[in-house]
Amino acid sequence: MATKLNRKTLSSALLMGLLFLVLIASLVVLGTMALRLDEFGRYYYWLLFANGIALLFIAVVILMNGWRLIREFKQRVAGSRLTVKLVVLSILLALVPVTLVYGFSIRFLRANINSYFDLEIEGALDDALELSRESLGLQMRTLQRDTLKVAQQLVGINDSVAVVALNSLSAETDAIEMTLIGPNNRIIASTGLLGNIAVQPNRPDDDLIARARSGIPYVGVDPAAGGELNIRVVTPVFSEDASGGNSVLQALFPVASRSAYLAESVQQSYQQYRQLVFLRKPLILSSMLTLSLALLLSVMMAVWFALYAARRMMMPVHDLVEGTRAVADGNYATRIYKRSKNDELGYLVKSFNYMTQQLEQARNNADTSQRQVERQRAYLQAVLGQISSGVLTLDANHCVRTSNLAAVNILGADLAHMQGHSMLGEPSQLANPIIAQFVEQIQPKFKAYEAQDWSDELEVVDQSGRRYLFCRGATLLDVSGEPAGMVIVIDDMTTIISAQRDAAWSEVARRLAHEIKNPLTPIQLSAERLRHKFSSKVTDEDAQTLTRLTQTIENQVDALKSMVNAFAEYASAPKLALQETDMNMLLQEVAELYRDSNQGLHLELFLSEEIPPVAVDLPRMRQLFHNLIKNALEAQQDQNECYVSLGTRVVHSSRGAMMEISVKDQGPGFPLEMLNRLFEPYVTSKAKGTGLGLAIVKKIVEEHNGTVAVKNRVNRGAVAIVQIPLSGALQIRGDAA
Amino acid sequence: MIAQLASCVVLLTVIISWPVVGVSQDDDGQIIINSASVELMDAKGRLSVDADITLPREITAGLNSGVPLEFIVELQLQKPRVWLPAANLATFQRRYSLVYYELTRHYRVRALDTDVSRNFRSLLPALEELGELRDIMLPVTPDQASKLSAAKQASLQIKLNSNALPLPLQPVFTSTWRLASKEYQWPLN
Repeated sequence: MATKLNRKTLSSALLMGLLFLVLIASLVVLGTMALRLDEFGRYYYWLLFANGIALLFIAVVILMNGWRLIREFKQRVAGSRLTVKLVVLSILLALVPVTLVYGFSIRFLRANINSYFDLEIEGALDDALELSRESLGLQMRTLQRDTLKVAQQLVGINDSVAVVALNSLSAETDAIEMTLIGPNNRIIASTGLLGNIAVQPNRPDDDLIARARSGIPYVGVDPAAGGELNIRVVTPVFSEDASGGNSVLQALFPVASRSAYLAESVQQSYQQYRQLVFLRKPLILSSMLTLSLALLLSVMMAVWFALYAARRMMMPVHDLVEGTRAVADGNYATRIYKRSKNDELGYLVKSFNYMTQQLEQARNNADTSQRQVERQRAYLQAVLGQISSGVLTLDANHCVRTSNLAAVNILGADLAHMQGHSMLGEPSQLANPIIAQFVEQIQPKFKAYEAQDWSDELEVVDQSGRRYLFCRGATLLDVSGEPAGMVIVIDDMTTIISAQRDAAWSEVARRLAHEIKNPLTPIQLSAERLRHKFSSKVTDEDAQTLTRLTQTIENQVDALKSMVNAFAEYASAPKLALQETDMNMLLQEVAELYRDSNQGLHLELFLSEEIPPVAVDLPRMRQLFHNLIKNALEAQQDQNECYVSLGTRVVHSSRGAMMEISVKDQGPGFPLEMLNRLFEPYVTSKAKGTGLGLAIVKKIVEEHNGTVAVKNRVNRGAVAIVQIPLSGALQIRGDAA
Repeated sequence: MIAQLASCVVLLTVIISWPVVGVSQDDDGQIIINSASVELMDAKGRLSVDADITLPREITAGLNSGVPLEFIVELQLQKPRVWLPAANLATFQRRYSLVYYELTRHYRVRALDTDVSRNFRSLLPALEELGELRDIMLPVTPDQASKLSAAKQASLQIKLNSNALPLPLQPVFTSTWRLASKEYQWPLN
């Protein structure tokens, strides 16, 4: 692009230079012509006109360039101010001397041309002309006398012999031609032709004939062809018969060649001088015009060259400014065309290009590094997003920098709004209670361990109950080995701990059932045998006492058996007998058992018709419903009115389509600290009960690959929610079959 | 921009026409052709002209200052056309010079084509001589002769040859030194 522009500029410069050369040459020709009067000058005005047109063209080019420069100046184009200054300076530098030279030239021109026409020269030429006239006058007077003699000898000669007489007399003189004109203006006789030029005898003008006929002779010099001079004498030839009128004799004499040459020379000089005098003013004007054109050309050349040179000189500066702007805008790929190689600007351009090259390379390296970092960051985020442990990173000021999805799920809050907030602040000011508890418990770790790694188990309580979080903290070091932040890994241990407890309770139940159930039957049988054997042998009063005591033993053994059976049932893992069951119908059957047997019970069913038949173990599922409804009723046993709401619906979760069964009551709800332990054996909020109801519910649900949760309702009461997978249950049935 | 361009053009025009515009036309030199006739016989032609030639004061002053004048008598034989200017069949030119000799105080009229000259002691008879041309032979070429039979009209103009003037006096746009008669046209028999 720049090369093309450079070529274009050079081409225009070459064209203008050629035009200027042609104009200079034509002005030289014009200057020569202006002082010449020959026919070469007929092209003068054409050249003048052509020059004018060319100058007009140059003026237009200059005006366009000037206008462009002014426009750039107004638009504050880079380098335009300096260009304007250079142009103005150059024009002034050129204009002042040219104008001075022009002024003096005009003055000298006028003075020189006027000096040609000095009065003394004019007087000398007049004198020379007069001298020539006097010289010729002397000859004329002599020749007039000779002609007069011939005229006197022709008096009285008959016209018939006049020719002979005239020739005879003419031969005695130097006349080249003598002509006798009669009274009737008819040529009577003539001695010959005037060379070969005249077609007839040279006849004097009528006024000369009349004048001579009246007696006044004429003598004069006539210019002839070839620059020669003739002396013409016209004199009367008096007639003897006065009534007939006088004849006229004309004689032509050649002027002596030397005299004629000198006289002609004087005449020509005088004529040329007079002509020059007459042409003096137009000559001055023509010369001034040529000079003015030369001035105009010089000025235009100077202006155009100033514009061209300034623009060309400022091009690298303009390029540099534009390049700097581009670099400032972040375009490091900018390169400037090197217009000149050996000067300082060329070196500057070269340095600029080297600088932008370095900058571009550095930026490319930085971009590459940044992309690598971004890739690594994205990779890390992907890895962190997929792991189940929550990961939090803090900066040196303990402000949250990053967090993964697991951390958000574990802490139950979006940590994005925590970014930039220090975790050393007052926990109570945090809106999220879980985060507040979390922050409150890890703050001491920051102070206690500072730059050391630590780990601890934290407990937080939310609506779903108590949760156990295992946290590990590790210090992050920067490149200089200084602490630059911390990474905290959080594992939600609640489920694991719960599973461990469940497993422990199952083991306890199994052992209890095994260890306790075995001696119970002998105890019960022994008590029965004791009553039968000794009741008849003792008094009635003692027999009654014995019966009451043995009955008490049997009852307590029955109670222990029931408890042991319950434990056995909890601990046992019987093989499920799955069968497709209409869960709505099953729920209705179980509900009907409670509707009539309980006074003040308000039992409501909200059953979805979309529930398909589900493969479940029917007796265990019936037990599950019994346990949940009993649990709901027992929660409201202190109330006069009981409200139990049973519902079914299909929900869709990440595990697929699930059947959801909800049992709601309007009891006092569960204490928060018990919520996550409700499904453990012997954990109950009631004064009575084994505390195995919900534990068995959980066991049945898990056997059906489902989930169960108990939550307090917002206003009053609690709700137990059981979710059993529709397809998962069928799979289990298949396995069972 | 346009105004600047226009001013440049006007300035240049003034500069170019400077030497000639400055000459005022304060007198009324003119050339009037009163009558003219041409005879075409046997591929030869003869021209007779009667014209009044009056020189402006400026030209008279120039003549008396030694500036030679050259007059051109131009005859065109034409064939009229409908809706179009007449077609020119042949053009004949006769040139005459008028010079003033200060030494002898004569005006010399010379036919430049035939080199026949005549001297006059005053300007008036010299101009009369220039205006009264009798039986001027026209050099008809064979090529022209074949066309002349079609000529139906003649056009005559007498003018001062400005190209023969000294350079500073040559007119560019308008000037006293531009002297010419109107075209005199007449039908040919």
